[in-house]
Amino acid sequence: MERIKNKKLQNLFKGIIKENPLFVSVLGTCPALATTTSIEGAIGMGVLFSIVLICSNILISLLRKLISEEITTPAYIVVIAAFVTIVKLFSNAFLFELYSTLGVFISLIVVNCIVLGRAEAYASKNNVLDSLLDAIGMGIGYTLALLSISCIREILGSGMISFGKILTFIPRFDIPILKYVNSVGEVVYDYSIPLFVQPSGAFIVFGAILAIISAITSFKNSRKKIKEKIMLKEAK
Amino acid sequence: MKIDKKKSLHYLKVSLVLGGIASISALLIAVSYMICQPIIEENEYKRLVQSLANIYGDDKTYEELGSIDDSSYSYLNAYYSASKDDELIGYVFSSEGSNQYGSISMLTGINPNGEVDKIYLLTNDQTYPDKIQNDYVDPFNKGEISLDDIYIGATFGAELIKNMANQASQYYMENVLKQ
Amino acid sequence: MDIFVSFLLAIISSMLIDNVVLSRFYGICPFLGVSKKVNSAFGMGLAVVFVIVLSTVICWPIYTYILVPANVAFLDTITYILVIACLVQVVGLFIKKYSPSLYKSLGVYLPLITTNCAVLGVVQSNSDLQLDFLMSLANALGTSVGFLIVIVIFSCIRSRFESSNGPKAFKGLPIALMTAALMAIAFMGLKGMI
Repeated sequence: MERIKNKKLQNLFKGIIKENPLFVSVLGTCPALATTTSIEGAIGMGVLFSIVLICSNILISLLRKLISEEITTPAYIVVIAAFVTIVKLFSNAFLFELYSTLGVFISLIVVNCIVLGRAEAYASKNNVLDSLLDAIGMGIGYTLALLSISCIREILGSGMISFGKILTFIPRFDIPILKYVNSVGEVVYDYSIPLFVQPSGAFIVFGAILAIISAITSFKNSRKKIKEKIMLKEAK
Repeated sequence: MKIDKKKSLHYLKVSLVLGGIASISALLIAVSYMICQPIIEENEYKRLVQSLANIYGDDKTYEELGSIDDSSYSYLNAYYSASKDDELIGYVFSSEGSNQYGSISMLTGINPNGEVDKIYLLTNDQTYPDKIQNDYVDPFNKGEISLDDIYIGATFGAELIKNMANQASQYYMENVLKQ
Repeated sequence: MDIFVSFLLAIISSMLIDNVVLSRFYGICPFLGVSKKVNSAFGMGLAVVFVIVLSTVICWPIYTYILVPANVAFLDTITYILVIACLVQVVGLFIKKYSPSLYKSLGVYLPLITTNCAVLGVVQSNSDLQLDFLMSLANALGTSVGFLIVIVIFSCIRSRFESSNGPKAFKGLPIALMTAALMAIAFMGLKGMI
């Protein structure tokens, strides 16, 4: 029982760090660079993406015995597109500001490589519970990745973290970090770098994060190699 | 003969499965559409009334007078009257137009003489929305520039707004004033 | 004459000024994935031009004359993606039968174009902005040719990086992203021209 529970937890957590869909297998980058100009937009995009991923994984895993080899592609596309349409309708009705900020990128979840990739690689071969855990893990990982990029971009680029502009059920307030506009409207101090809310800033932040991750990975690998060498020497 | 039957059975099964998936998806979409569509339309109407208040203030009562389907007035959609305590303050025209940069939908306030009073942009998909708002629409509403001063660096958007406002004024002069 | 001038301006504006990859972020996955060699980048770009223009020509009438009058405009996403998937399969079969050499050079990228954000993004934004047929065509042409230009330039630069020395952490994708950032700044200078 303990081993099974551990395996399922490992399934859940692998999507967050070890196989993070955005940073490790570089997939689904189009929304990552375009919707991360504000923290709220990134959270909204991540949540909507996770909903589509979870629902489509469940349905495809339920139907995996019936779908034969030839019709995998159109079947997956129809299922994923149906869930994206449902998510669009609901966000148009209840979260209108989020819908008009994200715009086309909600529809682009259909062709997101992560959703299609997970459906083909995992949900078509495993049972419902495993696919559900996998989807939850991938969704949380993607949302955290989007959140990290958007934190850097918003703090450095516009100087303050604003809440309540896009997700309107949160009360509207700003946390001033690099830029402070007092209640009259005049700018008290402004040290923000507007480059980071432009498209080029997105590329810079994403490239820097990938470089940091690759440096950490190679450092870990070199330490592992040194440890192995020491153990081999001691064994002699 | 035997192979043919097996193959056709296989194709039948495949098409049944595809049809089943399509019908499940269609059912889910139809259910969510029935839930969401009334809410979407109600929100749109609330936003329209709220934005009509931007022209003449929210202490006036607004009434829809009719929709405009005339093809020679291609931008105009509908027009409303604004009145306070039974006294007619002016008219509001809602219009929508697009050029190669995207579409603009806006409200035009026309005073009883037929002159363009105020402009309020509802949606602006152009490439320089802030420039159009700050350098053209806001000074016009304050009375600092006239409608023809469109050379602000986002010329195409400003020209589209000018054409839509003039068409509203023209419609008013020819159709409403004469009644 | 007026229409022709606005058509040309629309193409230039979506090709250079509001570039699809560097400013609107549509085609990043193949942009980063396929651009290691100039030949493959060129083939991918040509295939994308073909697919985007053809799918706009097919999808715009479907939206305007079938979906909107029937009041089911919210089904546009499903329709577009199914049309694009079918189109890519049909075009692949066509090219394979009639020109095997062309299929060899760009046929392997055709299935990849189905999941290219640029194709669905252009078609969806045409119907979101409610452009008429000429403007949608201009948008499609400008977007796809802009994608071709940018991916060829990027692959030329990137093929030099493969054989040069740099910090080990930046090898591969990070240095490519920094290059893309510099290109984005360069293209940003074109804004405000029209």
